[in-house]
Order: sequence, then structure tokens, then C-alpha cells
Amino acid sequence: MITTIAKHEFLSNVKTFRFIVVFVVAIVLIGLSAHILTRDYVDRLQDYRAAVREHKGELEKVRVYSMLRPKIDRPPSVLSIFCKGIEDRVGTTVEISHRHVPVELTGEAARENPYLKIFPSIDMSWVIAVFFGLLALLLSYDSISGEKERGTLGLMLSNAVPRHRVILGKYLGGIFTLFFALVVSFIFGFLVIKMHPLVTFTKDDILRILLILLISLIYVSAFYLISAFISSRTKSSAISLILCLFTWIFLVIIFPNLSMYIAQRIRPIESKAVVDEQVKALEDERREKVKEFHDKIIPARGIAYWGASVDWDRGIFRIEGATRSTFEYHRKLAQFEEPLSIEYADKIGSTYHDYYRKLEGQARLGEQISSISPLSLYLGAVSSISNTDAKTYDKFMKEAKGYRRQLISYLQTKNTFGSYRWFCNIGEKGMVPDEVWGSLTHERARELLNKWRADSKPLNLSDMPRFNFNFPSVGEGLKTSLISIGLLVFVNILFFTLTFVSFLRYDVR
Amino acid sequence: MTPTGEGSMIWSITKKEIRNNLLSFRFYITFVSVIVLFLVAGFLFVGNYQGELSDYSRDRNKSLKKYHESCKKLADLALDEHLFYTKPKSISFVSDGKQGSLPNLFYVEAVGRESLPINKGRFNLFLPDFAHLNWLYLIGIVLSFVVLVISYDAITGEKEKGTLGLVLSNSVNRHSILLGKYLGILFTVLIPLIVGILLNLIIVTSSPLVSLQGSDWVRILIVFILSLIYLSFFAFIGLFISSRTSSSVASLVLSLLIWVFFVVIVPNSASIFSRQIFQVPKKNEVEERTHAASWSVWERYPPEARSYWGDPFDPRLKLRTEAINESDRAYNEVMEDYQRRLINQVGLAKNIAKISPLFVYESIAWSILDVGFTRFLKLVRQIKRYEESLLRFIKERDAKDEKSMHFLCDEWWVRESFSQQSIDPNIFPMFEEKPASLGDGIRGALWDIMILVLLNIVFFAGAYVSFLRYDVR
Repeated sequence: MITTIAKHEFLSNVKTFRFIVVFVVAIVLIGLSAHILTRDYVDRLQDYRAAVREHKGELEKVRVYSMLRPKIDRPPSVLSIFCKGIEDRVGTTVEISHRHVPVELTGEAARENPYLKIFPSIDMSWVIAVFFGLLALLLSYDSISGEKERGTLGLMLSNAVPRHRVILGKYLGGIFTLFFALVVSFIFGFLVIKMHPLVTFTKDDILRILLILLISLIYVSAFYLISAFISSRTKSSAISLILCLFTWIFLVIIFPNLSMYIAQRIRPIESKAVVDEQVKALEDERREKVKEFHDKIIPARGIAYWGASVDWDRGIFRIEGATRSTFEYHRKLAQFEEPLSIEYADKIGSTYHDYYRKLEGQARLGEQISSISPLSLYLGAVSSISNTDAKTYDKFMKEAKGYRRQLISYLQTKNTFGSYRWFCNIGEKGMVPDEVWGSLTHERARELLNKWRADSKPLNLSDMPRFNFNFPSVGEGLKTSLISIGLLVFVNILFFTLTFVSFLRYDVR
Repeated sequence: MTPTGEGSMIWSITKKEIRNNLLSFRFYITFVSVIVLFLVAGFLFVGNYQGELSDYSRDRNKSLKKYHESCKKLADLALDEHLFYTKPKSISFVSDGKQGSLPNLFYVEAVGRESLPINKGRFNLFLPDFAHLNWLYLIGIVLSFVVLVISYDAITGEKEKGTLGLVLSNSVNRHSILLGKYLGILFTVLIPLIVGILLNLIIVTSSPLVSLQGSDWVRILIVFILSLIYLSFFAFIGLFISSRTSSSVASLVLSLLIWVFFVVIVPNSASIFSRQIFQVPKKNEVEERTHAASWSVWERYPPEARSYWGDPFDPRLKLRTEAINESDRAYNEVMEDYQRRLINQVGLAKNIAKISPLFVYESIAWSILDVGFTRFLKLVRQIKRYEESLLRFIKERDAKDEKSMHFLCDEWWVRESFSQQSIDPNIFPMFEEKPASLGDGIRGALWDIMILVLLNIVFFAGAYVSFLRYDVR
């Protein structure tokens, strides 16, 4: 009996005008957004690969330890095509150095148009959230009041069909219609993405897509049940539709906006400029200490180089030839300055850390307020599964910080801070006694320099720790989104029960 | 029937409609939610505006101080980049024109390579993009929906109740009924709208930070009238659909689908359509092109231009100055072309979005309130002009200085060889935004206003014709 009702519901749903219109719109938007976001993803993927190659090449050319600043890149997530999350807002590359705690990624999406941000940009998960929510609502707003108006409800119930079977049959029929529409859209979106040869999905990705499909179904079912409940509490289907759409506008359009706006008001963040100022004060303090030490150890004759590339601000020194006292000066300076820099970098890092904590706190508050809306719950869960949420970014940043620690201990175990190798890789050969320096002829100097350059070899970095980032596993993603999914399921159960009870007591006349 | 008689007939229908609407259930839920939303919007605006304003005044003071510092030496004035921050506007409680997503920091430079303006606000990268709740948002989305909810059964409902035939048998003109219904809908919506707006205004203006001038009130009034035209469009849509369908539910479903199309689909998909049709070059491609452009300039110059002999007063630097300036010009041309493309892509998205009356309405309001993208484009133009006049001023002053080498380009040694005279910052003050006059705002929006009015006329005619031929049985 339930299947008969479900089948009947399905067939009559699919043929309705409203179903066809909304479904076609959703398909068109899914196709377009999938196409554009695939292009974005491929751009990002190519940029990522090029960057990794480039940074590997740079590392192979490093000749002194002071220049050992490996750059690491954040891989793009292929599922950003489904749900872009914060992916296109957070940059891609960061330099790992003992002198800075990595706090922020640089480099932005290649084809990003900053001015286009006045328009919302949509992705597949948004299209599904908005239009399938609407579709669910349009299918169920008259599921009960409509039958009553046509008089068929009384007829059906007079045929000794138990009420709970009617309601279950109707629910299954509606859900099956939506499931059918969802599957068609997913397949269509998938085909659009697969048209691009550079995009590859692993088994893990397919599993994630299936999970997203499942979460979509739970989400859509929540909307179906909310409006079935409204339908079971109203006498006319017009009133039911008005109430349903009002609910939809609030939950889907206004509330997600409003909650972020409220979060901004309740927990305001300070401007980045304030933090930058605090950081600048710390940097000045460090520079002052270094200057003090420098004044103490500066050789009487001053410092003199031959061939050198020196960046005092970034602490990069590569010296090919200099006087013995200059060598000694730099060795002592590095021995003092570099551990001090690490200390200050940690201080600055924790200042930034506090700032970013506040940003996250604000976002979390917004998320908590907006969890009244199934749309926000849905998008939150999908972005966790797609690896485009704040948590995935956080994981990357944490691992980048951990990598910096590894790099520091690598430098420390090699005792590089206190040795000439910090700034010179030909050792004592680059030294010229102070007395000889003044008497060198131009030709002789050039000859020496060329010899030093020939002796200079890139560092052997085979034992250096390497950075390797793995996206959170499916399990971790599920764990992050557990509360959101749980709440969605709860909404389902709640409204199913409410509808069930209301329908049992519904006046069919 | 005399014209006055007809007028009173329309009026009595209107009154009856308003009375009916006010007693309906849908009116209560819309009334309450509209009022609550306007109140919430007011409170939230005041709090956020306070933060924006304090950021602004801190940044502004800092950049003014730096400008005064630069004025102590003409060379510094020429070479430094002066920072201009856009001021958050009080009037943005009506509409902020999505100011939060647009650049608010412009670099003002007399010479050298231009930098594109950037967004430097209280940006939170973890927060999803969201729109601020303001008048335009609430009227554009919530009230347009309310209009449809009130108007969908204006004609079908009467038919279903059987009252339409009765009314028409009483020798009442069909157009009187239509006009009466139309006015009834509009007045009904006006009640929550006016109450909401007034409450919002009380909250906003009671904040000491918000200062509204006389012209601001005129602008607000114009936006209010504009909102009526916008809502009237939806009233006509509702009437039109109601007079084309035979059942109220069918009419409601159809009107709401049209609402979803205009209010949700079009504005949200404008950006993907625009990005599909018009592509902007990748950032690294632009970078390569700027390099190529400035490099091709250097190649045309003799090697002598590439050297610096350690003396900023060396007369041979004239050639180098020319080469640097020309290569910077080539660089700027590429960047300007890139910026133009970015702006064109937005322009295309705007035109696509104008399929929806919501966006037409929004862009008129932006133009009249002088906010958002219209204001951004105006600032880009004004700053360009200011930079040119700053350069002219600096060159004039420098020409009178005999100690100067008169070589001006974007390199550090110019700070020593160029004029060292100090300038009174009051003679050539730092860049200030000139607000667009109301006339400019209206002129800029003339086309859009015409579109909005035309849409009203078309749907009025549609509703009129359909209703004349409506089968009342």
C-alpha cells in the first residue's frame, strides 16, 4: 500500500509544472557553476604544480644555510568544484623560515576579479541548497491541504487506508522524487566536470561525492518535512504555500546573512592594522637588541666584502669573500641574532595567533547562530567533506608551523647558527687576512672571486625534513561535520513526528 | 459616470481592499516580520558603523600625518605614495552598495608604477560572504515578496468567491476595479514599510555618530519613492498573473516562481554568466606583460641609461630618468588595461543582473546615494585627475628651484637631487573625495529609472488588457 501511494506521488510530482521549472533552472545553474569552478580549479591546480616545481628548483640552488627558506604550497581540493568554501580566499603559498611563524598564505586565485565580489558567486552546493530546498517545499506544501481541497483525502481514507500509511507513502514518494532529481543533477554536474581532461577523481573523492549526495538528501528531506508539517497545520494550500515560502526566505536567504551580521556586531574583531602595529613594535625591539650587539662586535676596520648578497632585514647573508674579521663578525652576529630572531618570531607568531583565533571565534559564533538554518548546516557539512572549510586550512597552517619547528631543529642539530656555513659555503677559503685586503689588485681580486665561485656548491639537503600535506581523511571530515549532520537529522525526526501527529488529528473535511 | 464619480469609485474600492488586507492573516505575519527586521537592521548598523568609523579616523589621521611629513620636501611629496581611505558613509543604512567587498584603500602617487586599490578593512577570511541588512535589502527581497503575497489572489480570489461577477454587474468599470485593487495593494504594503522605516530611522539617527545633511534627506526621500516604483512593479506582476490564471493557487505558484527568478536566480548567477562570457587574464600573465612592456622600453635605450654612477647630481642621469619614466608608463598602460578589463567584467555582470528589476532598483539607489561601485568608479577617476594635477604642481614648483636637477622619476636618488623645498600642505592639500551631486546621481541613473518605469507600464498594460478580457465566471 505504501509503495502504491509513493509511486503515485512520484509520478504526479514529476509531471507538475513547478517541478519541471525549478529542476531545469537548477540543472542549468549546476552546469554553469560546475563549468566555471572547474576552470578555476584547473587554473589553481596548474599554478600549484608550477609553484611546487619552482620552489623545488629554488631549494636546489641554495648555497648557504641563511638562505634556507623553503616555500610550501597548499594543494587545491578537487571538491572545491562542488563547494568552494574558503578555498579562494586564503592564498596558496608560504615561506617557511626560522625568522617567521607562518600565519598567512600569500598568492591568490589567478583569475580573481576583486571588484566582482559585489555579486555573490555561487557553487554547486549553493545551487542545491537553494533550489532543492525550494523544490522540496513546492512538492510538499499541498501534499495534505491540497488533497483535502480536491476532496481526494477523504476518499482515500474512507478506503480503509490507515493514516500512517498515507503519510509514509506520501513522504517516500516525495523523497524519491527529490532523490531522483538530485542524482540526475549530480551526474550532470559530474559529467560537466569530467569534460575537462585535467580533473581526476580518486576513489576517496568519489566516496566524498557520495557522502555529499547523502547529506544533500538529508537536507532536502528536512525542507520537505518542514513544509509537510506546515501543510498539515493549515486548511488551505495557498496559506500553506505562503507560510512555506516565508519560512524558506527566512531560512535560506535572510537568516544566513543576518547571523553573520549579528556575529560581526556581537564579537567585533580589531582591524588588522592594530595587530600589525604591535608586531612592528616587537620587530623594532628585536632590531634594537641586534644593533646593540652589532655595535659591540663590529671590527675596528669595519666590514669588507668581496662578493656578497646581503639582506639585513630578512637576515640573508651570502658571502663569497671577505676579511677574516668580517667573517668572525658575521659568525658572532648569527650566533646571537638567529636564536633571538626565533624567540621574537614566536612572540610575533603568538600575537598573530591570537588575532586569527578571534577571527575564527567570530566565524564560529556566526556559524552557531546560523545553525537555525538548515542551509547553513548543510553548507558547513559539505565544505568539511569537500576539504574547503576553515578546519582544513587550520590543519595546513598547523602543519606549516610544525614544519618550521622541524626546520629549526634541523638547523640547530647541524649547529649552523654558530658556524661560517651560515653565510659561506667555501669555509675558510673565502677569508682574506685583514692586512692583505688593502693591497689586493683588482685583477687578483677578480681571480680569487672566480675561484671561490667555482668552489661554491649548492648545499646537500638530502637529510632535510620535507613538507608533505595530506587532506583530512573522510573520517576526519565526517567528525568535523558530525554536529551539523546530526542537527539536520534531528530536524528531520522532529518534523516527521510533528507532521505525523498533526496528520493523525487532521480534519479531512 | 462622471470622472469624479469614477475617482470616488476607485477610492472606495481601494479602501475596501486595504480593510480586507489588514484583516488577513498574511498581513499580520508580514507586518510583524518586516518591523522586526527593520529594527534589527537599525541596531546592527549602529554597532558596525561605529567600528568602521573608528578604523577610518585612525587610518585617515595616520595618512594625513604622513602627507604633512612628505610636504616638508618636494622630492618626498613626489615620490611617496599617499594613502587614501574611503570614508564609511552614514547613509549606508539605506544601502551600503556592498562597500565591504570593494577596495577602500587607494594609492595616490605622482610618479612611478601605479598600484591597484585594495580592500583593507575588518575582513574575516573565515566568514562566508554575506550582505548587510539595510533598507534596500529588506525592500528588495522581503517587501517585494510581501507585495506578491498580497496581490496574487486580487482577481482570482474574487472570482473564486463569486464576488467578481457581482461587482461587475453593478456597472463598475473594470479599470476602476483594477486601479482600486492596485492602490489597495500599494497602500497595504506602505503601512509596514513606513512604520519599519521610521523605527529604523529613530534608532539610526539617535546614534551620535550618524550625521545626515539636508541633501542626504533628499536622497533618502528619492530612494523611498524609487522603492514605491519598484514595489509597484511587483504589484502589477501579481495583478497580471492573477488576471491570466483561473485559480488562486496557480497564480501564487507562478508569481512566486517569477519572484525567485528575479530576486534569487538572476542576481546570484550574474557573476558566473559574466565570467563565462568575458574572461580576464590571469595575474601572472599580466605580470609577464608588464615586464615585457617595460623591458621593450629599456631595450630602446643605450646601455648608458641602465647605469648609475653613484652621484645623484650627475647630469647623465637625464637619459635614465626618461627611460624609467617611459618604462613606468608602459607598465601603467598594461595595468590600466587590466583594470579596465576587471571593470568591464563587472559591467557585464551588472548588465546581466539588470534582467532583474531588483538589480535595476539597486543600481539606481547606488547612484543616487553615491555608494558602492558607482562611487568606486568615481573615486578611480577623481584620483587619476588628482594625480595629474599633483604632478603638474610638483613640476611647476621644482622649475623655480635652482638647486634641483629637475630629474623626476621613481628612484631613490631623486629624493636627493630633486627640489628639497618644503610645501605648505594647505596650498596643495591631500586628495579629498568630492561627493557626487544629487544631479549627477540622477543623471547617472536616468536609463535605469526609465527601465523601471517602463517595466511598470508594460505590466500595467498587460494586467489591464488581461483583466478586460477576464472571464469572471
